[in-house]
Amino acid sequence: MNELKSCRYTKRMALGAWVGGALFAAGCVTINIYFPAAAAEKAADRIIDEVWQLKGGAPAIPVAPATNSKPATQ
Amino acid sequence: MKLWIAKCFLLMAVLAGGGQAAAQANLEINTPGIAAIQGSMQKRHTELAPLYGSGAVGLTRDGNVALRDPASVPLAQRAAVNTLIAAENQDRAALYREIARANNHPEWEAEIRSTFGQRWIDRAQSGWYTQNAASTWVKK
Amino acid sequence: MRLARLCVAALLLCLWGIVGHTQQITLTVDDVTGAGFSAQGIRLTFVGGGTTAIEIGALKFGEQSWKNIRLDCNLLRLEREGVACDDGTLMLAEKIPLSFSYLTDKRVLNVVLKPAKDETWQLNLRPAKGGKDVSVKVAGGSVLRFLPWLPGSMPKLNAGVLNGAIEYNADGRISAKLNASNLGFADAAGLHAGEKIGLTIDAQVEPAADTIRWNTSVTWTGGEVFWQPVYLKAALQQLSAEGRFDGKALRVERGSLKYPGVGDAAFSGTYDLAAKQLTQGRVSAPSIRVAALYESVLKPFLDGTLFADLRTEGRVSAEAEVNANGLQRVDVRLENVSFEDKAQHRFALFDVSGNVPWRAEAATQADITVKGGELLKMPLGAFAVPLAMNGARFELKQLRVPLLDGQIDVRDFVARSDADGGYWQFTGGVSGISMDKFTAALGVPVMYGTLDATLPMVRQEKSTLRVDGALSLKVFDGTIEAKNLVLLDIFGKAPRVQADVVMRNLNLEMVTRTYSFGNISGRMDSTIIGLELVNWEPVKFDARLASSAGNYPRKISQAAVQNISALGGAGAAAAIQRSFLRFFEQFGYDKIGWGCKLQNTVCEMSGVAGEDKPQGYVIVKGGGIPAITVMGYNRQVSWQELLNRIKRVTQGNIKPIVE
Repeated sequence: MNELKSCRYTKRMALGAWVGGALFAAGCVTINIYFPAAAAEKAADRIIDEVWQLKGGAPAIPVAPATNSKPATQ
Repeated sequence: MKLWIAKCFLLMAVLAGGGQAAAQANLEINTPGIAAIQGSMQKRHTELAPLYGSGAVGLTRDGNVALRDPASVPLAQRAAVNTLIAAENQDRAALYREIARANNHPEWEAEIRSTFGQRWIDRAQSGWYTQNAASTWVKK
Repeated sequence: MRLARLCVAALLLCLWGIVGHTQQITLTVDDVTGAGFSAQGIRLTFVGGGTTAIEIGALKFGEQSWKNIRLDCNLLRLEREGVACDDGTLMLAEKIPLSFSYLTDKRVLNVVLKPAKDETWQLNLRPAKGGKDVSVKVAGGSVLRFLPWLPGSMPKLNAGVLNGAIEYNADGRISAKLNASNLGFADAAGLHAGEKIGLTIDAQVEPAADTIRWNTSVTWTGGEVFWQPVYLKAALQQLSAEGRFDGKALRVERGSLKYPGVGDAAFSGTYDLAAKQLTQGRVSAPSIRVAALYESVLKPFLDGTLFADLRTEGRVSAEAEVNANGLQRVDVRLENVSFEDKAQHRFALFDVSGNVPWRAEAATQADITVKGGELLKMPLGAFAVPLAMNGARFELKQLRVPLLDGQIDVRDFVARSDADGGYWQFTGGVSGISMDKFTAALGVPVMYGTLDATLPMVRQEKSTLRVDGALSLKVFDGTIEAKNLVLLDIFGKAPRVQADVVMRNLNLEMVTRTYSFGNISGRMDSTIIGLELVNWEPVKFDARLASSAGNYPRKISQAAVQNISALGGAGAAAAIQRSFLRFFEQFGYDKIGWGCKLQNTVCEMSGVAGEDKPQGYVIVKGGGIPAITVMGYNRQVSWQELLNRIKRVTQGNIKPIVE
């Protein structure tokens, strides 16, 4: 997983100021907005499969009846 | 009557079993917007595939397609091919933007584009042209 | 010209410098310069036996320069009448076979260069009254020899053969008759290219009092050109023009473009060289065939728009005038112009005729009449378009287009364009259109009643279309109102629509009949708040359906109950068939209520307000005899699944099973 650029930046700063760096690193953790690279790759592959028709047929839509109703006499 | 109600409860129990699968670490790509773009790209692919094959069009590093070898496209078809490329790149831009938007992180667009750029290239068929790290064309 | 003179001078210098038959004579000239021309380090070596060599250390001609040029002549004949070299070689970038002769008494110079097989460049200089006549003849000349002189910004020439002659007369007249064939050019991106082009060029220049008169005619005889986005094929198109040039402005007095199959155009104008501006210009093209114009010129520009694939006919005449301030006047006359969306049949207009007299700085009125047309396969009647124009502002007080048995009204249409782009707005509506005809034409389930809708104010800015006020229409004996309607990115790949919709007092009998949903009698209100469509599919809304207040018969048929149940899955529908309920055709009800809050592809459902039971929610609350209550249990359903079920039900795929 990739971390957001701001994190890399703080890491680089931490390297520069080795001793005080811990504080920056700690700050980094709290604002750790990351880009889910692995998930993005997976999403990309799924779309590429579809667009380029790489796998036979589209994956079936999961049919899970999520509702039901029944008639009842009063 | 009692039997009916019992039957109904049974039915209810069976039907109520299914539920919505929770979204885990996956990116959301099942939105009408993404589906529309994907459908349009899939339709266009039948026209683009022979152009990838002939080397006229290649896949760029930045997740686009480009006219690599204009000379291999007859003049009469040049406009159509250019239009095809422009339309494909427009769709691709929209796709990257929509995925970022659908996941409530519009700022991910550039990273989604670069991820796709790499995956399109990795998964290109042999014989197709793709751009390497130095942005020069390489035949797969 | 100057070059030729200098050449001769140098040649004579060298020849006359030779006296007697010495073994070797070397003559050196440091510098020869002329306008745009200079030669340095000229050395002439005369070896016994006729072998002669002329060397030039550096030659500059215009922007081009060469180094170490050498002319060898194996056999230089020196005779009484003149000098001749039959077998020479010019060493430039390559070895070019050359021959020349000079007749001393007639003072006629002939130079023949044969740089390649079947390629000859011939120069002839002869004295004439007031100077010299010069002619250049070329046979099989490669245009690639001009490559170094052409600006780098142009697409690169890659092939071409030149034949013809250029004549210069001592009195200043020049005439050229040239024929280019197999001409090719291309740029790296492939956006501008030409192949196998054939051109016939005929040009004359003649000095007049203090100007130069010129005329030229170019005919395109063969090949094809792609100039993004236009592709054209040679069809003997002919461009002719004549005018004057006084050093400051290029004046075209009479110009014409003949395009066989499309039509002819005439033009004139003045181009100011200092200001780099067209200070005056006029184009007129009478009676152009719209079909040919569309196919060969317009179509490439319309790709990706609504007008990308049209069938067109009719004729159009156009005249335009520009001056230093820009476009001043456009007059367009349409003669029975028809166009039709060829593949998708979304729209068509037939026999559009009239005049459009546009002026940059005056108010004018266009009178256009349309004999008929089609919109989404529905016939349009005849109508007139009284368009008022004033510069970049266009107004239409009223436009009434007959559609089916009713009409579309557009009122107070205003469009203007400024630096920020375009903007338009109008109010209007549709009225008196029979719903049965309308729905049949659209291919949706047939509805009854009349379609009356008002469009309070429709505005478009950039790609956003906004409807102020409420769009209302009367259907199913009730009203449907759409408010806060916004269309974003309407011509994009994924158009977005936002709206709030309120429906009142719909006649359920009409609704259920229309959608083959069994039969429910009664009245229904509905609200859909925050409706959001992407690519015309709902992604978000909060919808509620509820029985209207008031007294009216409330009946629900068995088929309708089955269908409502079937929305909960096929099993529930089958269940009713096994119960005694199947013996009743109709049931009474008290209230119907159903809600669906769509978000993230999941619909969160609810039933009649205030009737929730611990185990579920009530969709149909029974009342009367025999009464029926339909309950829903699971509150969440995938939107796609719900859609599939609705589709199955309304398409009647679930047939009653009678056991």
